[in-house]
Amino acid sequence: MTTLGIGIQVAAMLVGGAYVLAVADRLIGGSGSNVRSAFSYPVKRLSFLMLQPVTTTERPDLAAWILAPSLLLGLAAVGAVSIPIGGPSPGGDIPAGLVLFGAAMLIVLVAVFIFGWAPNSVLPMIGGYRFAAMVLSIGIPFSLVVLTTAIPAESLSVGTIVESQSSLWYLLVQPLGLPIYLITAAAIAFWGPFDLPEGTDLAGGIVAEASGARLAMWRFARAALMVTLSLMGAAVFLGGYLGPVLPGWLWTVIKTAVLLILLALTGRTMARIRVQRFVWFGWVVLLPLALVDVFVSGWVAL
Amino acid sequence: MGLKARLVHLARTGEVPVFAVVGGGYRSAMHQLRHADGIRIVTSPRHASVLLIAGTFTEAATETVNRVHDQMAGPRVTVGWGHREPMLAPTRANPAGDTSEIAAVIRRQFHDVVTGAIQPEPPLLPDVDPVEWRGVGPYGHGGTGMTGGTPYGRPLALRAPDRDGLELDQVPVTIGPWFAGFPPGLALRVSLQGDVAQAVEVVTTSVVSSGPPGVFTRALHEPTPIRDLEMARARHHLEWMADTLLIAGADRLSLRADRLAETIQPGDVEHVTRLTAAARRSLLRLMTLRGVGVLSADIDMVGLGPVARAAGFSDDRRTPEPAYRDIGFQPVTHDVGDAWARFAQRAAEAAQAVDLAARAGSHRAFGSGEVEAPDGHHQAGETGPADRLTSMLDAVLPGMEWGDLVTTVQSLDIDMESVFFGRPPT
Repeated sequence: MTTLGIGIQVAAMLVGGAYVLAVADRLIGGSGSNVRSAFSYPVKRLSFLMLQPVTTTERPDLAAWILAPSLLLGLAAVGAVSIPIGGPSPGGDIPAGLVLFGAAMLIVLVAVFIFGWAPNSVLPMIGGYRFAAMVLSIGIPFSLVVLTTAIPAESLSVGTIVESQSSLWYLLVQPLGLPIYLITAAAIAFWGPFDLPEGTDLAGGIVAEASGARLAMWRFARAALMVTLSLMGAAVFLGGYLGPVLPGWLWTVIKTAVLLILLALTGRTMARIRVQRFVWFGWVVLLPLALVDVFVSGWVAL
Repeated sequence: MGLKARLVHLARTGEVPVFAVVGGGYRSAMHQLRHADGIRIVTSPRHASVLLIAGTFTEAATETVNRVHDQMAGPRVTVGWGHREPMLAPTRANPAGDTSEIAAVIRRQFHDVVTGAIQPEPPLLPDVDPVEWRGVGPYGHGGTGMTGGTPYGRPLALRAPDRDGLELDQVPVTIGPWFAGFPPGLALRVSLQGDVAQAVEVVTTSVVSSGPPGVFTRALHEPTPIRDLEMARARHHLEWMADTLLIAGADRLSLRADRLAETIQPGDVEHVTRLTAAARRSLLRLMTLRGVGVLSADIDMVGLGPVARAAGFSDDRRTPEPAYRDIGFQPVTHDVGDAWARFAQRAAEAAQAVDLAARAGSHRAFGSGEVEAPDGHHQAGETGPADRLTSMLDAVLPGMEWGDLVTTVQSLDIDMESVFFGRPPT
């Protein structure tokens, strides 16, 4: 497939996925809204934000403030590039796609931190601090559960990992994998109940000072990040494009949408975790569980 | 049709982002507006297009309200709701009606300002630094070394030891009085080191004024049907639970608590216990409230109502009241005294209140100049529990992470109307 073809495919997945997420989130969290209005909601909200002027604060770090949303979106796109959507790509995969994805996801920390830093305002800054504490606590378990799927596949290429699930999904082979992955992925996308950087207790935190196109861009970049994380979850744990009858790309879409809706559901129904509790949870609960996942998978692979 | 016209066409019927400044007498009304059709109450004025000024205020509110007004990104428009202070930001419309009326007015004004039928409001304050640049000191900021000083009237960070004995920057900021995580009208001067509050001081200017007297105020002076008192108590606690759930990010449950507060009837104990069980399932206790804001035993909590009872003090003005004794009233208590205990305590009291209301018959209580209101013991002519709760904040809050600080303040249920006017909340 050509570079342009991959680009179009990734863009379509990110935009489509962001729309599915926005509608699901609206249906779950919205008040007194009917189903029809939920489908037009993302479009109307985007239109309003595009009309709203971009406000500024007193002496912000303007360059960082402008660049952070683009960086976040870029990272989401880079993470998505290594994931085959419709079937094995004829030109071959990115050889170490899994590593590229993992690296992109951990740099999200930088994008979020500077977006909190840039407005020169106290509540966004606290949001940035919180995210640093969060990612440091779950970065290792996140990377471990993703990389563990490479053990039975004996490859770091996402395409090979998908192909190696033709008999059994890794959801069943590595039962600890997907739960840990979803928890840490929600945290990396600062999505509820781990939306500490954007908490109500910070009046919106990192986005408290953002408005208009800047806020729209940030919201879209975050949704795209959720899509990338769900795409990867579907690829390495749910067999990606593998499935009977339907075409491969449709299986990818269905599996990704299921993960997105699952995340939307937990995001709106659970109480936000305290940051101290989260740090404890990351180091004391998730990290040992992720190590167990690695050892057991290695044992089975031997 | 050009791009802009197309965007306007789509946006004008969209949900209206509203930032609400809530004064006296409009607490319950705001809870209902929160889930009105086509309205979204936002936590930051930057996200809002409509500024809603609901209820009554003092003159001291003017500056803070104007500041909030100017922080809105626009196209902005201000709407009043039963407020009588023309010195606050000029309002387009000021109905005194119910939720559906104000929601319709807000949607109309939003539609008009987005389509350009009315002019968006210009800023109310001049865009200048509060203090001119003076250029004092080695770096021109007026402090010593690279810290301190107040360039442009904004205090810079100062070095101070933190809890681990390191010397780190401490930033002095004022949060409030319209911060979404605090009760309306509460402002705190906080010294922040990272996300930890090292020192806290309550700003004592009153910005909300007292709304119309409620059932507990009446009960100070005349015997009042227990049924009315207990239903008002149940509604108060349910609305407080909705606030707690909203700040904790459990939006769906918060909505459910608000709806229950609106529709609850005497005897609906089951509804309240089911809501409490759902809150537990949302991991509110485990993730957010447990162990936060523990009040130490040396604090005098007599008269602090649910706050005292959540810490194990069986202290309730209803106990000696004959009418309450007749219907078998026994105070509920919890121990530990953390934010979860206060949540569980108010949930249990709400359930108890609807049960008492169902069994109260024509019993009346109080009228002796004393009353047990939802926030504790009130005496005619005295400042109430809210005043005491506010004055202990500067001792309780320092050392807390910001999120825990917000949780703790919220868990104390401080009604700023009551702080300044010593009247039970309605």
